[in-house]
Amino acid sequence: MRSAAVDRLTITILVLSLFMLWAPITSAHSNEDKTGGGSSFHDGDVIGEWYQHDSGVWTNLQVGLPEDPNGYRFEPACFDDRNSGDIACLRQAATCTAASDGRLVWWFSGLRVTDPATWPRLGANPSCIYSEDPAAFQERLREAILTAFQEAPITPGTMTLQPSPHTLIGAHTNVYVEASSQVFEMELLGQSIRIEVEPTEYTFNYGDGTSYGPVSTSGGPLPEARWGEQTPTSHMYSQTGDFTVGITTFFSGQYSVNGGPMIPMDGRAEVASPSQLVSVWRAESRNVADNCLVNPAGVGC
Amino acid sequence: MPVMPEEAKVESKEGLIAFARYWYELVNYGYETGDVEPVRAVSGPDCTDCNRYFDVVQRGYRDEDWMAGAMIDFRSVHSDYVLTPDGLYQVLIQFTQEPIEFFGPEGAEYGVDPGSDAPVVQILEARFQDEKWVVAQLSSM
Repeated sequence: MRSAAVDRLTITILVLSLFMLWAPITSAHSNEDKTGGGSSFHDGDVIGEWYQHDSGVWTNLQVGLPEDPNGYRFEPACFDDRNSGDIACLRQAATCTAASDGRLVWWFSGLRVTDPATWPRLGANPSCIYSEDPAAFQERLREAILTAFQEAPITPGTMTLQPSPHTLIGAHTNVYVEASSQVFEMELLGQSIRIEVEPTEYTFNYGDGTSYGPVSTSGGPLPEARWGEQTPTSHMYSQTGDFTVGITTFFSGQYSVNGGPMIPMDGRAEVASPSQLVSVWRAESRNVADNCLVNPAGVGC
Repeated sequence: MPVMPEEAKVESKEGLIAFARYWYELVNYGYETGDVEPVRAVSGPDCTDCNRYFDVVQRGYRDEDWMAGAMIDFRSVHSDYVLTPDGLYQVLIQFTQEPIEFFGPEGAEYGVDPGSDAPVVQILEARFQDEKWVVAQLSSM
């Protein structure tokens, strides 16, 4: 009598015959020829893939595949009889930070149909397990970092108008902003996060219904003798009156988790500089014959 | 060269398991030396995965080329010892395999196949004929 397990295995042979050991090698004498097509069926470790074990824990070991003939179990790596107080082991356990509640374990594997107690240890090193899917945790962390970036107390750029607070109609009023890169360090979901922000673009709002930007130029100061000249960020008012001038600075961000590599952030943070009031005046020219001492009733005296 | 244990010559479940163990020892011997004849001597002509193995090793050792690594670590074995309609007995084997390195004369390096850190399961189907076990078919799961 054949057992159900054997029946299932016979069927599985047909289904899985694609993944065969000692796959064909077409010709020899080159790298491509020797290894191309695979001399074994191993596809290589996929970094960042996580699998849930029967026990509920998450691991980057490919456990928990449906119909897997392999069984897997794990034991703590650091707190068993052989290793208690093992500093190196505890240090390695501290690297289990891909999600909360990381633990370092040894995995054991054997044929699922055999006694788990007989399964040999797998791999030369212990590995990390988590009680939460690290992929989901990483997504939560990424969102928390993005929110922290958007809400970070970024110091706005300093706006300067030339001249100010009074300027003239028909003349160029120079507007520029000075903004700087900034660093924020914080704890998010138990991870040490560093966020670096850098001003990249600016929008100039001249207050009379016109604006310029976003542009990458921040403008710059003019010496007083040249006030009134056109600059890339200057504006010429065509009406008199009081106008509120504002500048929005766009900051790009990048972040690192637990001292890891810097990763560019999606989106930008918009930071408004405090607005300033500028009064636009009309200048009138009259020709006069005398100065005010000679003619105190003259124009402008 | 590995010597066949007496147990592997017996027509029984334990005999089949001992034979499977021995068969993979011969496979490792072939990877080490390029001599696959001992495996061929206990494998049937229609075993497709066996033939692939012969092909890999023969090409790996062609002319003055050679191979390193590739050792199979035989980890776990199981058989229900039930005769299939084809007159074969099945045995399941779990193993891992070291990376397979390919070399040529004068230090030429042809590349490395990653082997498998992850456990691999194969089904070996064997028949007992002429007072000895022979591998009829081999498949990976």
